[in-house]
Amino acid sequence: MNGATTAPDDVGRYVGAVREALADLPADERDDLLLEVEASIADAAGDTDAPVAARLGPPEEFAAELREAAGFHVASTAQRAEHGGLRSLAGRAARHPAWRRILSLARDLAPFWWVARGYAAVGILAVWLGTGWAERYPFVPRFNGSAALGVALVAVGVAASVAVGLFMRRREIRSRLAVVANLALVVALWAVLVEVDNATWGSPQAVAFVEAPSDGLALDGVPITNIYPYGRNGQLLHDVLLYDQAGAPLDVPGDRDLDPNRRFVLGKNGTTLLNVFPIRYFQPGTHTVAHPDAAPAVNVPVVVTAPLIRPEKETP
Amino acid sequence: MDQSQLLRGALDAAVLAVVAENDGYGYDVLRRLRTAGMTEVGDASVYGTLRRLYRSGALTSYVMPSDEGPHRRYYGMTDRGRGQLEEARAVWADFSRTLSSLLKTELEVTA
Repeated sequence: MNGATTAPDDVGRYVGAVREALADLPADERDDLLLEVEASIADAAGDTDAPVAARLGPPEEFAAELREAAGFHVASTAQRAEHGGLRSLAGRAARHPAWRRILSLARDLAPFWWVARGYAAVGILAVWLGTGWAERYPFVPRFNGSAALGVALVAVGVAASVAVGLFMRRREIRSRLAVVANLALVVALWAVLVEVDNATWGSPQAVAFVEAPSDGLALDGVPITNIYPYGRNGQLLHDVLLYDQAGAPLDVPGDRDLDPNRRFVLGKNGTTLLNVFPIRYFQPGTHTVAHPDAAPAVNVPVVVTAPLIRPEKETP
Repeated sequence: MDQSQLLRGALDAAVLAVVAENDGYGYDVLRRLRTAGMTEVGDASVYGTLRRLYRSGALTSYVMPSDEGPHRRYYGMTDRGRGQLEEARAVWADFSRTLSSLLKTELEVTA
């Protein structure tokens, strides 16, 4: 390359001045553009001995021409007013690295949204048709009274949504219709979640569950309906009265009218004792307990600790 | 057809036509335009136009190592670029036919 000893400096200075004149452009865009322009100017410089500025004119003019041809807007107030301040502001925001990073993250997370919108599309159909929700899993819509059909339709909806998402991503399709549809599905998802929330807290099962612990005995939220006490020799005990740490009877509530076969144990004044265990049931229509020793299958462990010994009264 | 668009896009069409012939880098495209007769075209206009066509998707680009100096960014055509060139050809044919018929008398006199 002829003139290689002087040209690079000359070119570097010239490009530096051009870079200064383009200082308002996004840094990555400007650097990329100037890297290429510098290579071309260096090439051109190799073909003549004339100084770069003599051939290309003042760097400011070169920069203005480059800017104009490349379609970058001049950052003067007049130009900005002409192109619409808001639009140029939005354009600059759109080129900001932070916004690009958000966009790229959103692109990575899009598949989750594809799943969610597939569910929302099927869910909003259930809301619209008023077909209700599965009792045990209230987020599953029911169709035609069938939760299984709901699960199947949700699966189809999610699969279709993911397929559409993948297709549009591969073909790089961007359409206003898709934006509108996605926004509509955001609203639909919100509506579906509100419905599911109502279905969860409004169902009678949930109410019964919430109220159960306050009425009678319960263990981990499961009502206790009977207790089988065993002695240390492994023998089932009968008519054992149980009290808690505060001296309150451990009652399993009952009602003679609702539970006519329960063997209610009575106290001296005719009071019904509800903390007597195990609770036994008569053969219907009689006052006989057919199997007094009936109990759930329990392996009563062999007790090896010595029986409790009462301390002897100390003699003074 | 929009003929004012044609005048603004004349350089676009010329650059596309040159790149359609052969992929090229900035100075190479400039030199070929000059050789073809566009002696007045400014260096910066050509580099800027290449850049804008690339950003709009009419051109694709790739970097080739160079023996002398920095790597060169080559430009090649995309389908969109080819479509744009076709359109420019049609507009130009229409425009030149119109202008030729308007200037017919003078042309005959000159000829």
